[in-house]
Amino acid sequence: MLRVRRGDRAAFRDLVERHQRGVIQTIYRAIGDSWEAEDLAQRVFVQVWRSASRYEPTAKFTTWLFTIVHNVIFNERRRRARRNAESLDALAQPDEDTETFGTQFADAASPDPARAAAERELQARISAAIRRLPDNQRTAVVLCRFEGFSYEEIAKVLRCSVPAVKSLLHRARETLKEQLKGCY
Amino acid sequence: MNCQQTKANFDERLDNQLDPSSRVAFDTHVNGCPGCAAEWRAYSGAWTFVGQQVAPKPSVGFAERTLRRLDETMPTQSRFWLAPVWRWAMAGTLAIAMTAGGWFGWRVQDTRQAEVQAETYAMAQQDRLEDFDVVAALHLLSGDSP
Ligand SMILES: [Zn+2]
Repeated sequence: MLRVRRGDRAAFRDLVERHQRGVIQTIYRAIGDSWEAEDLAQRVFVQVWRSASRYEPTAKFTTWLFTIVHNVIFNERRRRARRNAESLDALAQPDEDTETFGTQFADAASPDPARAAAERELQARISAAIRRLPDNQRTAVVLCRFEGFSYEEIAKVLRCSVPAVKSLLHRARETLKEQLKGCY
Repeated sequence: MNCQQTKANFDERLDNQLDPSSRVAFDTHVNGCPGCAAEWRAYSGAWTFVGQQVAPKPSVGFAERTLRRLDETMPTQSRFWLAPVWRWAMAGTLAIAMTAGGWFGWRVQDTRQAEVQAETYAMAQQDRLEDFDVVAALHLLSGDSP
C-alpha cells in the first residue's frame, strides 16, 4: 500500500488482484447482482487509489479497504431506496441475477435437474436472508462468516465497539435462524 | 455450565472465542441437555447453512478493467483545472471580471444618481415639489431604491 501511495500502478494492480474476490463477493452478498457488484468493486478500488494518501500505515489495510466497501454499499442501497427502483421488499426478493448465478452453480454441481432446482432455491433463500439484514448486521455477518474478520476488525470497519459487534452478530444470527427455518 | 450460561455462550462457541476449558464445559452441557442441544442445533445450523452461500468469482480481466477505469475517471478534468497555468489563467479572468463588474456597477450607479438629481432639480425648478416628495426622493439619491 505504501507503493500505491507513491502512485505505483503495478503495486495497485497487485493490490486489486489480491483483494478483488473479497470485495466483489462482499458487495454481491449485499446487492445480489454480480454485474453491479463488479461495477461497485471497481468504484471501491478507484476510491482506494484516490484516497491512498489518506491511508495511515498504522491501520490494517483490509479494515481500511472494507470500510470503503461498507460505505459504497451503504450509499448504493440508499441511492436505490431513494430512486425507488427497488422497494425494501424487492431488495429482499431473490432477483434474476441470483437465480441465474444459482442456476450456473447448481448445474455445475449436480447433473440432476431436481437437485439443481433445490440447490438454486436454497441459494436464493440464503441470499435473500442475508440481503434483508440491516446494513451493519449484514456487514458484520459477511466479514465474520466469509472473510474471517475478528470482532476487533469488524468493530474498526463499522466504527463501533467490540460488544456492539457481538450484539450485531447475535441479532443477525437470530434473524437468520428464523428466516432459514426448515432449510437445513 | 448451566442452561443459561450455555445459551449465553452460543456466539462465542460459534466464533471459537471460548478458552479450552469453557469449550469443554459448553460441549459437555450441550451433549447432556436435550433442550440446549436442540437450540444449539438450530442456532449453529443456520450459521453453517449461511456459510454455503455461493458468490461469483471476479470475472477474467477485472484488474485490467479497473486500471482502465482509473484512467477514465482519474480526473483528466481535475488534472486539467489543477495545472498551474490554468489556475493562474482562471485567477486572472476572475480578477478582470470583478474589476469590469465593479466599474460597470459604479457607472450604472453614477448614471442613475445623475438622472434622479436632474429629475429632482427639474421638479424643484417647476416649484411644484412638496416636502413629502423631497423625503420620498432622498432614498433614491442614496441608491436605496424600493
Ligand atoms: Zn441446558
